[in-house]
Amino acid sequence: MDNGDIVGGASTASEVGRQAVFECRGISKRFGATVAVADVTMALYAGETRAILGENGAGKSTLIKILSGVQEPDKGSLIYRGSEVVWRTPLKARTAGVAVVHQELSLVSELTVAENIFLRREPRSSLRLLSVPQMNRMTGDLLERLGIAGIRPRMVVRQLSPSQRQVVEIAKAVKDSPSVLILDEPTSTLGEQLVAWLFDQMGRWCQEGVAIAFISHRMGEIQKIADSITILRNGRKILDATRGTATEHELIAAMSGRELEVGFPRLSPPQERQVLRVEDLSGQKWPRKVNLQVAAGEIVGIGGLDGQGQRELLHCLYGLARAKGAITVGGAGPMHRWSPRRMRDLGVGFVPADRGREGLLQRNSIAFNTSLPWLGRFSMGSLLKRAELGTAIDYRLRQLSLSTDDYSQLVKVLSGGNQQKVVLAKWLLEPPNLFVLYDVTRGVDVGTKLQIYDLLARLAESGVGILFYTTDINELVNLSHRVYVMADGEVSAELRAPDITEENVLRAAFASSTATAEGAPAAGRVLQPEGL
Amino acid sequence: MPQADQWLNAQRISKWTGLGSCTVILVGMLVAYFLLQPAALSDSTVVSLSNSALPLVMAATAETVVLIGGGIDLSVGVVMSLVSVIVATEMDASVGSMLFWTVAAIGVGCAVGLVNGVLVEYAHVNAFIATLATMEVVQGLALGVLGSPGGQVPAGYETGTQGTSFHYLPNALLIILGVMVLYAIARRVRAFRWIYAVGSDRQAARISGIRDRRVVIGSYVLCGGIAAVGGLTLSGLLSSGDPIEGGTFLLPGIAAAVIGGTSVFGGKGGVPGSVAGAFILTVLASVLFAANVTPFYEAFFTGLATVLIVGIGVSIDRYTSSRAARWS
Repeated sequence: MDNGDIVGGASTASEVGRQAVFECRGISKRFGATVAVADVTMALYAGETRAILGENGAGKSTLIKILSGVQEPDKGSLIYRGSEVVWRTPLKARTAGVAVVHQELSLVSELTVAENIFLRREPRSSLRLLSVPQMNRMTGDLLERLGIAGIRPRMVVRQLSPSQRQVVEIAKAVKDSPSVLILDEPTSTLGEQLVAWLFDQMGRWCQEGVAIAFISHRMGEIQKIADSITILRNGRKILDATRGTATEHELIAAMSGRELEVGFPRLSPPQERQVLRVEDLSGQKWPRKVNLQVAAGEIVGIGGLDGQGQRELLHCLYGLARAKGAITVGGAGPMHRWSPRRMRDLGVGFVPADRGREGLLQRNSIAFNTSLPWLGRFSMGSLLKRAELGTAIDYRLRQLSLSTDDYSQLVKVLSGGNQQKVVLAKWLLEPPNLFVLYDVTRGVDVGTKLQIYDLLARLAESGVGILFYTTDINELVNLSHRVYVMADGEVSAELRAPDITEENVLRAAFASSTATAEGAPAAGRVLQPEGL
Repeated sequence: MPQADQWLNAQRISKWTGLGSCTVILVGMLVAYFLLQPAALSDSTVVSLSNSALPLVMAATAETVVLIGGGIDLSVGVVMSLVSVIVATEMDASVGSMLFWTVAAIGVGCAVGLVNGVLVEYAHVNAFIATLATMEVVQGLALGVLGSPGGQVPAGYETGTQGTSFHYLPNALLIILGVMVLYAIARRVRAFRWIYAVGSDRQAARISGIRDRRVVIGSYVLCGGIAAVGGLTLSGLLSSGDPIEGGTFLLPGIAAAVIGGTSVFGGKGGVPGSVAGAFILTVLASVLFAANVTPFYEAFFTGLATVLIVGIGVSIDRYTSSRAARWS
């Protein structure tokens, strides 16, 4: 286990003398050019809970997929009960006794709870037919044994709340008393009571000798439940620790790490004039009553853990999802109804989360994609002024120094960084008043990142207001005049210049999520485990 | 926990939306029909209604299986044609021949289904395109076997579909009941449920260990087999073979399935709904005839009725699931 990246106290007391139930050695997996998991070695012991921590994209989910046979590793081996195994299919892992509670739930929405719990392992009578009453009864027994009330075997999964689905998912995983149980962020959708219920059950399973791997973003939970902790960063194992040997601060430091220093541009002070004012913006589930402002020339970052409503917020803002509230853009408003078209007309540019599908027409040319929002502006009547449009596109793309000069090339042949430049160019043909960006540097190489930072700084200098969400905390901290941290669909903290530090952002994100876990019960109140 | 009870109610409503609203509409139309034409209230009407519904029921049932699995099959109608011309040209009145050609015909249907399934799952051809292609191919084969309507089916086949048993109970209706019984059994076969699972959430089904490709291919094979049985009943009803007639049941078959609550997005629906849907379309034609609507407008009203019924079903569904969503 010569892993140069191990920082903390490596071997735990339990690793000496005891044999692991399930172990992975030197696991590596890459997708195309990105390394998802690199040389990870980890062991799970009977009766022990190991927390796996890491930022978004640290490789946790890929590791779990490999452990459970959903994906095969490129390198490395899995050792289960002392002998090497190759799963090939999820079913093999499950029949062997490795059960997983997946984050993308493995429940089929049109089937009932009972049908889902027994999916692919349906009990059959002597006639090889399955008995639905028997299945329902067995499910009822299982739910009762787990202390779950409020969910009935006959309910159709589609109509369960997210927290109820999570509970069903857990029940499905533990149905056959597995010897290894892997929980991928089970608490993110559970309310306070259900988290308590789960921890109670986890304690029970541990006593029965189950080896548990547990992923969570909530520090408080991890300190409470984990016997040992593994931290991943950029696909590599950074730290192995037993309970109590590392402080919360050390764990956060290990998780975020110190990335190689990226030069961030100097920001000039914002203007007084507001370009965006959002009042009480609420979506279907998220966001919840969000208020925010962006001034001309101001770069405002949105932070927080991934999936806390940031995507929903930006979608609602741009009119892509139904929302209540009021928005003022520049002089227009407050508006109570708005659409993407209206936003575009008001000079709002929008870079969506999934540039592959939402931001670009992959099978069309660079020029065509860039021209799309501008066809109206560059036309006489309904005839397009091709030459003028062409010149404008040419000018803008050249400024962004695209890898190719041939703008008739299809977008899909470009690299991630260059595709992102096209998305940006698309909105910059004429300078916008407000630029809304969702994780604009994801999957983009360092060089392009720097170019994008410079571009944003220059845009701000020229008076454009910028509102951006990013999963890269460095970017958030160094590129923002102001930061809103989001948790559970709400703005949990607003940080200004001297207070925008990585630690403050992480603390706000984590503190607020523990607060939700311990504060008022969240969604899914219907379900009340007995014995609480 | 009152809210949990509300969930249960919402689920019941939507689960039976297709079948429930179909039954109401069907009964209403039958009443309208017999009010418009009291003279029609006789057992010969029941026989003729059942007879004209039978091939449509079979086409709708076949289509339902594939739709549930998340696919679509455009070759259902021409498989019926192909089977009907094979039977009309090859089968003679001996028991051996009847048995052999019946099994062979179903085998042909399954084979077409297998080709469809493999094209969709392994050659990654879009289901619509793949089955459009096999539809053309099979249509060509049917015309090759018999260029125009003709041939002869054994008398046993004729009475089997056109006749009556147990005091005026039409055999066609008995066959339809048989289909429903087989469906009730199929609901309790594991692999049949997997079709629902794969059609509903493919990734979730795969994570649960279901071999999703095989299940989808299986749904096409089953569809082809059922379509072949539909072809057998068609030739029995026509007393002969017809290389074109089967194809006319494709689109009404899809319409009947959708009217009956089967989702074109997969994972949802069932044969009882499709049977009801097929009867609705059949009775509607009779009602329009009884109401002296010009045959030219028949298609117009059929289309209108389809949109209306499906629209109502979808609205109820959306209403109930939006209520459920609000509670979550």
